[in-house]
Amino acid sequence: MSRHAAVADRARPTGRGFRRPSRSARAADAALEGIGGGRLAGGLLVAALLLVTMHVLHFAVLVPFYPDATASAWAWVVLFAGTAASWAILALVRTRWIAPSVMLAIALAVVVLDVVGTQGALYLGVTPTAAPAIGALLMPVAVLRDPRFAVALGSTVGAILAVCALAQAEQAGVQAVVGVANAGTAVLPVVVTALASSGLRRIVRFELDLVLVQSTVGTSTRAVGMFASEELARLDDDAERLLADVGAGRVPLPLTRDLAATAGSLATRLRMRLMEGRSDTWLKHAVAESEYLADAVDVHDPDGLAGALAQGQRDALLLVLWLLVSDRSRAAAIPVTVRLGPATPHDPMHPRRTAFPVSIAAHGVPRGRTDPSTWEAAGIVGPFESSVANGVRTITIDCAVENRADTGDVGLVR
Amino acid sequence: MKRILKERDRLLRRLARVTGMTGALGALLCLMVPTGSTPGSLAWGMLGCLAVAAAVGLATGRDAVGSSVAVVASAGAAVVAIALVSGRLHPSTATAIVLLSGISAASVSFILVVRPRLRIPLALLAAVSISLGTAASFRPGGMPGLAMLSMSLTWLGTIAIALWIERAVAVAVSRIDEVGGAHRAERLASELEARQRQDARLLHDTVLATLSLLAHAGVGVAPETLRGQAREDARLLRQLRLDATASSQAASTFFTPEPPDDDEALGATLESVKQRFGRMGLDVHWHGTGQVLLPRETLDALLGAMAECLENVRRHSGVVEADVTVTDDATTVRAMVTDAGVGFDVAAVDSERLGFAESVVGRLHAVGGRVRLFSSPGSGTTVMLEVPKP
Repeated sequence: MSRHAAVADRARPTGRGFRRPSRSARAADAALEGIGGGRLAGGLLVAALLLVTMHVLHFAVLVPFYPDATASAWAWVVLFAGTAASWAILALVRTRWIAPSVMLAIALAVVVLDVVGTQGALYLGVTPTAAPAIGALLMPVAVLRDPRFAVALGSTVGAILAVCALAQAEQAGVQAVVGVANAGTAVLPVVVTALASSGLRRIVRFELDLVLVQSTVGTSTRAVGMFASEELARLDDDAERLLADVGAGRVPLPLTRDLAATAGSLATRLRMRLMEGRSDTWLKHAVAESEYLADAVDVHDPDGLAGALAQGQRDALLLVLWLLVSDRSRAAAIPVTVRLGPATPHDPMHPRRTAFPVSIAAHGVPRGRTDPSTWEAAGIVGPFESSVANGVRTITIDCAVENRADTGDVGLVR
Repeated sequence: MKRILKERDRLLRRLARVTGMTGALGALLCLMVPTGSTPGSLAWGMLGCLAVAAAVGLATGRDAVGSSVAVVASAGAAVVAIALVSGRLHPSTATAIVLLSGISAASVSFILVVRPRLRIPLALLAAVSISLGTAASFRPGGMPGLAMLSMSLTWLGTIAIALWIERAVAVAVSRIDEVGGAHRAERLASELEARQRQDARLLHDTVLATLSLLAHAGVGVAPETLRGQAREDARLLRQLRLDATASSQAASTFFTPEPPDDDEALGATLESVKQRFGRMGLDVHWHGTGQVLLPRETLDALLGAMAECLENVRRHSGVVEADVTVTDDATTVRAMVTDAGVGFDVAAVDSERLGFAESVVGRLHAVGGRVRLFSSPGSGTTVMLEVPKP
């Protein structure tokens, strides 16, 4: 019964760390898919074509100086034919991508032809032109597919060209500099594009994570959490299968030891989930489901006071944590701690008001580097004080929330 | 969303820094090559200044215009100085000029492109920089045409990349908004589902008890009792699962899939029929009580026939609402599909023409059921579908 074995497998406890519910993960993947690619890559193609044009014109200028331009001309032919064929294949056959080995083969053929055509002529000012153009053509590759492959290929071409230029240094003298600079033009465009693309991706991931986690803010006072809800559905599913198998007599009674263990662990985890979910709040889920907050924030909220906050306050509190985490130096290993409560005794003047402090301590936030919107957000949660001592920034916010009679909903007191 | 724009600008500044420094370093290396005719020391000093200016200006400058002008100006000054102090342009010196005017100076396009009001100043800076570089290349030994061409193209290239980043971020912003909205809805649904599961469990929680018995391998309990209990619990869980997949529970509890050993999910629930017609513009209202246990085949036939009738309502009745009433007694389950549409004379219209023969009559006959049709012009139509209980 392998499926029961799979159940047992899932029963193993998972450590602390970032776990995104599968629905959020799917949403995130869909949004990240093709960031900056697709139709947008058009702008990048223009840049690539401009650079290729530059190399073509450079070749045209150099032709009179060539002892024999045939091999380099062939290099250009191979480059154009290879690129055109690749585009045609991508456009006509609905293949997802040209295999890296094919690109590698085309690039290699171009480099070999161009080097053969120019080697020994550097003293005349003749440098390879088709080979550095590969770097420009790799720009869309870096964005649409694999930046590491593009950078690696571009760097390899650049390195080969640089070595070839230096090998002619004795004969070419100062012209070797031109050869090396020419080799650099094969690398720079890919590197810049890859940097841009990965930076873009990072920004979008970060922003997306915030948006996905912000959805926790809208849940009611006590939230089961998306992850727990998925886990519950899965556990129910596993339990249903096991029970159906027992009920239909597909497994013998008494159960084997393995199956009994599976049933035991299912019962334990179900019991845990059913009780645990009742005391969690949105804040705990928001932190647990965020790629960036999961390991960077510790929430201490024994009384579940975060659930009492109004939606606007929740939004602001999440943003405060977010901004603090993103402003910390990367090396900061100590998590930001948030402590909610304890609630102050009820004020007889305002019997329905709950008041409690929220204190946030963040290590490693450089003085003066805190984003001004942090304070703006903190002010929405409530009146606050902030201080820095021994490199720890402490923000203490006085929260007051009005319990709206029986609905359990809460409003913000100003 | 202001934050993402700030991050974007940070990325662009970083790109500008990489590009600017690469150009400056390359130029410095070019000039370090001993050529005899370049008064090295002077040029070195110039380039030192340039590198510092570029690095400082780009790394810390919040003032886009100021730092950009500083970069272009220092690159221009260096180019002019190099041209003035070199009698004859060596290939390496000519390369240095192109690197300074075409790459270091062009790095400012990353910073300026995203500010629409600065696009004209950007074009001016590009023109100045390219002109200076070209003018410098007019010294003997230079190739002004090629130099101008490469510089223009690198400027255009950096501008194209910067524009691409700007567009990509704009698209990402709107997409992130969409995802956020959709995800909020999903979270609420998920929360509701989990709550239903928990509530159901609190009401009749025997699943945990049964699992606990099974954890002891079922020793000490009569196997038949345990099997019966497991069957019941599996049925409860299945019910929960099917409820959770339908977005509203109102209609989906009319029927329960029958045999517990049939592992497949119910092919078509009433809810999905309702939603399908809802999408096509026919509002279906369900009436009826309790749950009806039917063998799978019979259920499929009844649902299929019902869907055909609703399709007829949608096409022919001229109204956008239909009522479905499900009732049962000891032997039969009845589903009545009623509309208040145009109706027709049953005697005058051959029932075959309504597509009834195969899709409705045939289907129900196959499971031992039958169909009756009531209608007259102007007073709507009622179709009564009947299937026997097992």
